[in-house]
Amino acid sequence: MKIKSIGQIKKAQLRGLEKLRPDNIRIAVGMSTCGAGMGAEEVFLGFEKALKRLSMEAFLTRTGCFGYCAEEPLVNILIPGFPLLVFSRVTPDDTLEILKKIKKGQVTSLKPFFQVTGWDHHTGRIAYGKKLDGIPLWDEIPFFRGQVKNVMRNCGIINPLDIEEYIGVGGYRPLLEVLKTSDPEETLKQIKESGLRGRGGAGFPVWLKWHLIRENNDTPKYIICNADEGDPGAYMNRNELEGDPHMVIEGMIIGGFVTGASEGIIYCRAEYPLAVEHLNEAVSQARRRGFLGKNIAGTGFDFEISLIEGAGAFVCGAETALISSVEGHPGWPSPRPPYPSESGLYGKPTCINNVETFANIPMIVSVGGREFAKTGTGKSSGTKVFSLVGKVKNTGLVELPLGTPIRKLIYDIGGGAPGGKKIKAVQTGGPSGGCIPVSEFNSPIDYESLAALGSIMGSGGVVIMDQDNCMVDVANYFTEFTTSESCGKCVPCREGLSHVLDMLEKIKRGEGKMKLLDELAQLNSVICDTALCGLGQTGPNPVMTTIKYFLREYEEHIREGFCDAGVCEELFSTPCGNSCPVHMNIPGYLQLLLEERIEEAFELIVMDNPLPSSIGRICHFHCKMRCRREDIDAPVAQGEVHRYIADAIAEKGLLKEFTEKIKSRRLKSTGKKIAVIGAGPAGLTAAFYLNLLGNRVRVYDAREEPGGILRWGIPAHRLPREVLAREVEFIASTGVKFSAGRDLSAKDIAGLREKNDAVLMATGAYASRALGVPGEELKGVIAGTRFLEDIASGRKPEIGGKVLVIGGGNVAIDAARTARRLGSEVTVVYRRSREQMPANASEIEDAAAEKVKFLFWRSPEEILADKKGLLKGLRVSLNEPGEYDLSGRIRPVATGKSVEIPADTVISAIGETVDREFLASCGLDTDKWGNIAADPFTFENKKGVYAAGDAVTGPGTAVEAMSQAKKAAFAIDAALSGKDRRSGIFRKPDYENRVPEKPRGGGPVKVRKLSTQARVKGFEEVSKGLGPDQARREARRCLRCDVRISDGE
Amino acid sequence: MSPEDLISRSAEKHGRERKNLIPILQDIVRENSYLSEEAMVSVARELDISPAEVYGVATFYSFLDTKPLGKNIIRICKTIICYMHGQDEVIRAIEDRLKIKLGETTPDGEFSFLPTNCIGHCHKGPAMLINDRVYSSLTPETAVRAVEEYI
Amino acid sequence: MTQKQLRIKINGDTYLMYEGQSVLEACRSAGINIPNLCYLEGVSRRASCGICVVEIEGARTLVRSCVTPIREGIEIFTNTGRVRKARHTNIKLLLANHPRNCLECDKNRQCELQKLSDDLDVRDTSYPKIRKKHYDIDASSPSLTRDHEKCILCARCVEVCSQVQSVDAIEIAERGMEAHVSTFFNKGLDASECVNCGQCLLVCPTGALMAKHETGSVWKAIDEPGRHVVVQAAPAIRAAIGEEFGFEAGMPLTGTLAAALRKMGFDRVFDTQFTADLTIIEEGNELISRIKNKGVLPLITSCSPGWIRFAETFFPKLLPNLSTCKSPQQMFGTLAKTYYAEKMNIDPSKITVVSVMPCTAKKFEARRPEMNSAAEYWRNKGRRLPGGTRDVDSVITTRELADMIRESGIDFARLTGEKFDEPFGISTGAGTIFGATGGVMEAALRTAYAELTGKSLKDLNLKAVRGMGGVREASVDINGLTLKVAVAHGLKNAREVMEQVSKGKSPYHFIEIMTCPGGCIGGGGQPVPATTDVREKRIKAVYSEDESMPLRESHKNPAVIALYDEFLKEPLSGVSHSMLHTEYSRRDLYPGI
Repeated sequence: MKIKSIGQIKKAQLRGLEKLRPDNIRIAVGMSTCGAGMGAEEVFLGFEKALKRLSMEAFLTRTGCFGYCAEEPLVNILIPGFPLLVFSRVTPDDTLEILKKIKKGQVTSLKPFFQVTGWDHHTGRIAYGKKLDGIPLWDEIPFFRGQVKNVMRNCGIINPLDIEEYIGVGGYRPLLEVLKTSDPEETLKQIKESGLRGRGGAGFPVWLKWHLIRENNDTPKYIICNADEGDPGAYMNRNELEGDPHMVIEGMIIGGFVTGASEGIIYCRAEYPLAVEHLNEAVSQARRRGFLGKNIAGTGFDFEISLIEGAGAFVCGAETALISSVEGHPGWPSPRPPYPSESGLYGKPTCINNVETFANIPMIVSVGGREFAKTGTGKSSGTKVFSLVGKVKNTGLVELPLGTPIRKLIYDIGGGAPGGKKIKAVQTGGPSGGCIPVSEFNSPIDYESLAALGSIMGSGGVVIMDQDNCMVDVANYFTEFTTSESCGKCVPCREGLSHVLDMLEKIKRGEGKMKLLDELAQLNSVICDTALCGLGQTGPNPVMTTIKYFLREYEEHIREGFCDAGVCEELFSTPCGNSCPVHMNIPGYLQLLLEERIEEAFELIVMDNPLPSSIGRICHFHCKMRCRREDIDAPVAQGEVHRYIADAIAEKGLLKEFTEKIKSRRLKSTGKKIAVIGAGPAGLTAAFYLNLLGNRVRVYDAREEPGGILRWGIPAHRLPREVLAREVEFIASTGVKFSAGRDLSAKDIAGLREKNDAVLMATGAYASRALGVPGEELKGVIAGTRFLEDIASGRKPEIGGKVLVIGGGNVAIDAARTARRLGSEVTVVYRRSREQMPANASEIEDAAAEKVKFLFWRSPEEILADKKGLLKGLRVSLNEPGEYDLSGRIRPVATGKSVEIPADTVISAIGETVDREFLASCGLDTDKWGNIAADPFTFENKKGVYAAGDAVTGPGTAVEAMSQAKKAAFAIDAALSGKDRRSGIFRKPDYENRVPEKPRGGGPVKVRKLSTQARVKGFEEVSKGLGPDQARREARRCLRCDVRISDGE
Repeated sequence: MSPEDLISRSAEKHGRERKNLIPILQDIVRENSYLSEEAMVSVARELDISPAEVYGVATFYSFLDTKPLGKNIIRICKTIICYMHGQDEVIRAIEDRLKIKLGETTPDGEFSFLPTNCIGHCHKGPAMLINDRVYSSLTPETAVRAVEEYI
Repeated sequence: MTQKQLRIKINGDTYLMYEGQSVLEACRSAGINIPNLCYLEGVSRRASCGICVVEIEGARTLVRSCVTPIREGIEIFTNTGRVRKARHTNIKLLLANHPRNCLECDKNRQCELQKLSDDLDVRDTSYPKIRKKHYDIDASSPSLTRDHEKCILCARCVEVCSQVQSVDAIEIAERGMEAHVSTFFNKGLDASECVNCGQCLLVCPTGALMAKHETGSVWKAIDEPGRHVVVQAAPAIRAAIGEEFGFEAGMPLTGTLAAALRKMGFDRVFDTQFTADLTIIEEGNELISRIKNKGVLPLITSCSPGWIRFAETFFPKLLPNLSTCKSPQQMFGTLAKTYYAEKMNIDPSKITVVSVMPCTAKKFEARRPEMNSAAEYWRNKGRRLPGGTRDVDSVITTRELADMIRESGIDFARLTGEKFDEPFGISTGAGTIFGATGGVMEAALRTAYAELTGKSLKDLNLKAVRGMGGVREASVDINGLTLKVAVAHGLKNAREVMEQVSKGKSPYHFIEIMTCPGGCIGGGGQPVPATTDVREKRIKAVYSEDESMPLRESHKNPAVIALYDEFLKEPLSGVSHSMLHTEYSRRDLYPGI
């Protein structure tokens, strides 16, 4: 029956509402493509069967996707009198259980994902039953928190294939009202006031486009809905069309009425068969109801919609190409002007908007432009649907007010990267967009802000990249995409982008020169400036933004032939070796151990890492984080194996012989003299390589023994003194000279610059950072590093029975465990949660086992003294979790409440810095943190003065400092000798290169540890490392990612 | 249905204007999986345009194949999201299993293995279509198993 | 109607320009040349090359001047660093995949890409070749070769083939880096609808489209002792050859041409205008006979070989409407190896007939199987000519001729004019105007009028059929009969006229169709560039030549009269039928499909 009046549609709305809120149970299964992909069809059948089996009556229907695609299949069940219950990841097996409980009246024992008590469809509101206890409301789920459902308001609730339900939530009433007032100008005014901008890309004001077409006297006019969504990672339009096709159709009809068009065309990409099916059905339903056709609602307005399926060409998303395609030609764009609003389809005025733009129209008409504009920002009003995909925990479609910070979308809603990895960037706008680095995550998501960052809103695809993504590779991917989708018409896009791709491929293969970066920039600017359509003009964006924000990665590829993320095949060997800061050949030593060639294994280890026994004890083991074995059971304990090998060589008494062998490797003397300042991990490492390269190296250190932080910072229960001493001795025996116990002044350093060909500053960073709270000056407040140093030098610091340690890093945990060993009761106070502590997880675990207590979400406010001025405790403010910060960690927010914690001693370990004053006095360039400025590739600061390690980077791990020092040593040698001579000191042994057919070794072996009782009695080493069999078993677990297919053949 | 019948029927349905060219070609592909030379010439005659133009359109769009495809068509999503989640390994595994490279058809005509643009399963990548069925969250093992269902 | 004037700024200076002008045109009017590689006035607005870009105040990107109309107050900058960088880069991008064998290329020194990179001072061609796919040269056509390696995808050829000629033999296939100009399924031009007109190669900015070269075989014949090499030069040659030697377009150089040909070493230098006159007599009589005998009308001219192939492909049902007359080139070839051989007592197998034609399709025409009447003639006389004998042995274009003149070391500009040889060197003004669109019609009407009325037209200048209008019509009153005629040039216009004929709605008795815009003077073998302006100048030359001729009606050509007396007897006689007439048949494309 055709609906012709407001009265008729009001009646129809009531009928529709009854379907949505029937007297009986209503079960709606989310059957969009995302649901179907997760087995929604089977779930639907499951409910059907279960209903039959239980002889239950219920209204079983389908619905679209509620947005949380990762939780599909979602099923919503409405039981009269109850709220709408939404179940996630429903399997066919679940259906019977759910229905049984409903039948038995045990609704409250159901475990839905969330509940909805009432829903605002903006064009109509539906109230459900009262809130049930113990079940989160929909917007209490982190994924939905902060979302505003305008466009997706019906998705996942109504049956998209039933026009009655759409009418039930207020659909088509805006259309009728617009038609009945027969005042298109008024509608246009509302749209103008709404501030709605095109949701497909550039964000052109919708009212203006419509206005221009309305003013154009040429007829006929056309309305085209661009549903050719092709951005990789963007699929919101698919969901909108599948889940609520009528909303788009209604928007188009209103558009036709306002602009004076009588023909509408939906151009839908062929990859979306379900959307096409739903659209076809919806169009014929709308026709039956009289919303399409001749003389709509008796107003004399005619409008028809036809559907055209794309044939697989991304460029057809560009409006002029789309028109060309509709006309039956290849999708070749043409120059603008003329714009389609002047001369579009068949040369006639044509209004092209995308799906989401049209979907916003009914609501604007319904609530009014001004009300609509209350959401979002001034220039970017309303909401935008984003598809949140990539390296993020919660994937799906998210509708947010424009202006929401990127951070919120990615961390609060997306939950950050899975597996605790670090997010690196977000790519918005598809191949036309750009990569935005974490440092810009505070930026709001709106048209202008994204453009300012070099990206675009595009259709709303949000692709998240983490540390495992190589940005050169990402740029390469998008360029490859754009190149293959280029229509080939204009030179800059066709030829230019192919050259961009060629250059990127060169960089990825390690064949790039630095000059290429300039060439890329120059070529990109011309492509942007002269390409014919949006695809070409924005094609370089991914490359340009990655060069802008991730230049370092490009430089690493080019200058070091190294891909940090371990993606570019030619530029890394294995994921583990790649993530190891000193790039040890891990599969190599594991294999050599299995071949019982332990000396050669050790040689392979030492040549990459001259402190293997030490580092094998204290490392974060970055290698484990990327081990592919994790997919099977658990990562290989690569670090434990190298510790085992290094220890075993010493235990077997093979070290001396080995030292001679390495010594004999030393290159012919260069006659160059090099002074290394600082005998910490960085200084020792640099000295080791510089010496082997034939230079005369002397290491200066203020302390009486070399070792730096390893000797004076890390307690013996982690790194026994004799282990370190043995390794220092090894380095010394290869020819490195030491001047210990000399506290150098700035003048001394100037003198060393005179006498040496090069001076390397490896002075580290272990000045303790001040807490900055009252009472810090009190006796009984000790800096963590100071405390550890005292212990290490054999002094016994005075601490009380109740010790508080403030901080969450390794220094804090080391201090806490040390204090425990001194017999105190120790509590660690940290301002965030345990998960967010930067200390090694195993250290925290061990500390807890040793009965160190932890207090989280507490920040120090004041160190309290009693009347006598003696320290009596610490007042801390209680924090609660706030929003995420740029690092992806939840920010602590003070609640305003404080508590006091009694204590005798407070150890502050909230971080370390370099000795700013000293460095400044040496006349070196420093950065804003006071660190020594050094070129990332030459490591030079002033002529002849180099720097590496924590002194440059600020506090980091020992192995990271060694990594820098290693590179610096080669850079210094190259600078002095004029050539890269590093290959002269390395030997690569042959070993079997075969991928194990079936992964062997079973689960991970457990490292032997000292009992907790024994531990706190003294400073005996806690971890005993792997035994010989354990080490070999662990080695067998390696999947040998280093073996390339070409190796085997 | 003979190719001529198919074409004239399709032309009847859509119309014989230039704008109907792509829908007609789509009909042929749906029916015959690809556009033969004969079919393209017939379409050109039906719409009174030159075969070169039909060929131009057919080769522009990736869904209008001009080479015969296999009985089963595997389309693997080449989108970055799938790529980020290990699509390369999946491709390699399928290539190994079918002994063809991406973009090729097996000599026995059973399988074609093609890349495709985003199929909208970004939340569960890597994803692929075998004929009309979606397979998502693929690993090399599950992908090969999926392919084997059709052998 | 007065055109609105707009005030615009170019590089800071203010100008008044007409509304509707493009930025490129406005700049040109202001004396600023803007380079481009793809724009083709009135034909192609693809705007693909990205060379003609300029900066426009307020525009986010650079703007293509070729397709951007000027508007009031627009501020244009044509010479900024940004513009130069863009042009440079885009040229360099094109050069990356472009072969560097300019020296071997037919377009050497006439290549727009070459000239542009020189003009724009592009010296650094640092981009590597990245196109992986190799395309073989399409040499299937007897007239043209297509070398995709040299193609810059400007698509001018595609546009001309479609917009001007409505042939649509080529189209861009595939996309992105795979995009290439292709015939259907890359089957080769000869298997396609291509009519060999060569309009595409006239507009090709590079050597991607070239005419087949026959200069080698011509030199070989000239050099061969004992070989009698005769050359015929078509009417349109004299109106254009000068352009190859630095003369302004539109300078008729008939005498110079004859002198040059003689100096090159041809044994006899003849004029195709002679057989043009002959054609008029045969065709004129054919028309009269069809009108009198209620034959198939309208009669349609048949001297343009591209048009013939077009009709065979697209309008096979109308082939009976075509005049059975061979083209002047072919009539010449036949007569040279029969009448002339006998008259001069030369062994026909020792005669080589070379044509200099403005036309690439003539190469195709000379190779048509039916074009060997001389062999047939001698066979009937009991003499077998060597296998493969053609009436016309080699066809060279105006451009090839220029190459040969240069190779001979002849200083064309300094030649003193000479006359063509007798007997085939004598012609009338009617033969001359064959070179221009409408010329055949005009010449035919002059003769038909005289044939039917016994006296000459009062005014021999039939202005109604002259000009560049796509389809022009006229009616001439002859003894009470109103003869309705039409003239079309360019195959798109021809198609229009033919569709009318095919629907039976054509009011005409006689239709002249020329394949190329402007007629033969705009043929695919003529010097480049062949803009509308140049074509018009050549036409002017043709008509001024006509006016300067003592005889301007074909039937008054004494050599033709002698020919009838000595050999053909009378128009449409048995001899003339076997020598000068032929028939055409339907051309089935894509056989087997």
